[in-house]
Amino acid sequence: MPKAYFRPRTTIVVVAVELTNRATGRSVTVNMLLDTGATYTAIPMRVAKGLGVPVDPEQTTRILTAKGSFERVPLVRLDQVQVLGLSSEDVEAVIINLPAKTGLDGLLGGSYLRDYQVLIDYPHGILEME
Amino acid sequence: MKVEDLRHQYPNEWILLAVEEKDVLGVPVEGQLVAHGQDAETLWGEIAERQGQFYIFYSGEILKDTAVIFCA
Repeated sequence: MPKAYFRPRTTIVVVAVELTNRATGRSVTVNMLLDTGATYTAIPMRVAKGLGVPVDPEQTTRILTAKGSFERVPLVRLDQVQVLGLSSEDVEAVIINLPAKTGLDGLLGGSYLRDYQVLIDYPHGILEME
Repeated sequence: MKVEDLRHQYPNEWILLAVEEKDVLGVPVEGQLVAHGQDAETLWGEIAERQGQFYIFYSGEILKDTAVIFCA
């Protein structure tokens, strides 16, 4: 079972995620926050543009923001998403406003995680997936 | 250059490298430095001009002094 390690007892689990766009021949590894409470994986527009992921203004979904309001945001498809060597194809992702000052380039949410068993051992700082 | 060396060489910056070596789990550990700086948007612009495998990361503390509640 592949493992990643993080600081024990921290509540922020950051994972290296490889995003691939076959059409552009571009593959980029970014740091994402593991977010088991999120329906979708989410990326900021800078990542979509950099990868060359098509953003169709007609393809949107409604999200509930942390402020308690609803917002319509673009919904895109990522050719391949890989974490700890585990690949999923054609993963849905929403485009969100994620400031670069967070140091993050996305949230790894349910649209990827639903394919895997995910064990988060907070006391020991271990993430296992299979 | 090794990723860990770059973190020390360019603290609190965004770093973009062309990947040359990954570990067994596919995480980049070494590569050619393409660009670095405070502006992540500029680095993503660099990626948009190229093909290949890249790693982009922030060398400082992630989510410093910030609590997170996201819904998506």
